[in-house]
Amino acid sequence: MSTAYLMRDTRDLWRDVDADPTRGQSSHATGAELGAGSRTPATAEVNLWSGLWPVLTYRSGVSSSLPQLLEQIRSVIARNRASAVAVDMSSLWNLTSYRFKVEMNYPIDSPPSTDPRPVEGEQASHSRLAREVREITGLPAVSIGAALGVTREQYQRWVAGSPISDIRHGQLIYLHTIAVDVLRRLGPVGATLWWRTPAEAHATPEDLLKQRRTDRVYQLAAKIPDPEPVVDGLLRGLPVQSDMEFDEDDRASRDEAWSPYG
Amino acid sequence: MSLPDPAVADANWLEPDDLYLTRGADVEIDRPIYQGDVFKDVPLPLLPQARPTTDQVEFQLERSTVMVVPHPCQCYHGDDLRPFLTVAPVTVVPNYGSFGTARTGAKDKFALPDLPIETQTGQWDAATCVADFGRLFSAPSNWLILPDRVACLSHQGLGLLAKRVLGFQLRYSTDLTTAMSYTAAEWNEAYLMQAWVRRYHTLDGYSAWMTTPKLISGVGLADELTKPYDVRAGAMDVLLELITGQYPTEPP
Repeated sequence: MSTAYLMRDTRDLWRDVDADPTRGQSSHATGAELGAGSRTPATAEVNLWSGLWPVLTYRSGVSSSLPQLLEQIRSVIARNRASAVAVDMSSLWNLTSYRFKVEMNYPIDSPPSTDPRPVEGEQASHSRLAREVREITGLPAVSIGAALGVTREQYQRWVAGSPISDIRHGQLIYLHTIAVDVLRRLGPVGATLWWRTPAEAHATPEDLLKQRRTDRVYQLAAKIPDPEPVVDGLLRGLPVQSDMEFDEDDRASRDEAWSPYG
Repeated sequence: MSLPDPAVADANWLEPDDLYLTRGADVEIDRPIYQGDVFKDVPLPLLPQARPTTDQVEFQLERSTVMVVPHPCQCYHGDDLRPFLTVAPVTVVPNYGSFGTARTGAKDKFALPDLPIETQTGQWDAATCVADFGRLFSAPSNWLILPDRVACLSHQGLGLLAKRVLGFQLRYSTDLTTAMSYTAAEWNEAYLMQAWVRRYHTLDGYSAWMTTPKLISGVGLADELTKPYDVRAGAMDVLLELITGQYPTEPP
């Protein structure tokens, strides 16, 4: 099996990558645990080198097959804006080991990205979000659809990849962001319980979603005690947002409602 | 515990198609003046370096391009545009090398790649520009002329702006999705304000309508009064229908 792409750059970085689970650790790939057979879930960690220095470390998610792992590596390389990529699968692979060469060319001033996430198009984005919101919250499709102002069937069409309007895509992004932060703060079991636990006036967050009060759910989520608001140096926690206050400062107003028509 | 990927991939850089909502001739005249808007031909004073020794001083004005910086809530006071808006001067730069390979450098700058610049022949050209947080200026809002608005940021662009401002002010970092959540409601509200203006040709009455509790079909309990302001992020479709009389439908 081999896959070749057009080479357009003279800056070649060749390195053999040998991942052999039977040996546990190869000279270039570390921690590789590719399962025997193409159907066994497997992960791989691949170090790509230029001379004596590693330029890229990729850690795959669980891959059920070699083509899937290959696709993930392609995505990583694409994310690095490589000008040309060649992935050559030699014929030396067998049921227990994979050998492939990766040739990468990328702009000299661009840092290699170790982000293993695959590049996904806008069509796939909302499909993933719709699916994950349900997985994270454990809520039924009818509730999530109601939160977004659509039927269960429409929600399921989004999961399948049907187009979504910009308005609802924005609402879905908002809901997904809240759901992920609740998950981060409470963990999977706590998060699932939270959505079904009365928060105010006997209404659960699920009830509030169905009443289109996602803004209120945001506020409730932001007030959950946050064990780790900063992750990897990034502020992750949703901030508590105060209500807008109309100040009485006379200087704040021109006493003339805004109009684009003069 | 591994978390799902954020709704929007984190980035320290956005290409023009993702950064801008509209540019050049595509900028809609009735979109409310908003955080991130870029205006050309704004007269900015060139203050003398030497400290004035009298209470009067002469200075020149330079026609400049500027970007509106304040949070959307700080751009308006009710239905009124605030009399002064903080703007950042925008200048053309040769490249973005100072941003570094990870695009986290130049913390006092916000990149505006391919910003539309109108040439003397009336054609639009694209320029490599930056907005300078280090030289903020409080400009009278009536110096920002709507036909001179050359760009509006997308919601991702606003998120990136929030990231850069956090880094500039506090040396703090967040990811793009979290930054976008800061202005999710206000982002939707810009469309609501635009819809209001299209219907009534003025923003007059908008704030009162948004903050007056009312029965909104499909929002809250059956007999519950709700302020439209409180559901801007989650029920924008319903609010748009109330203003325009048309319910946003999904593509087939």
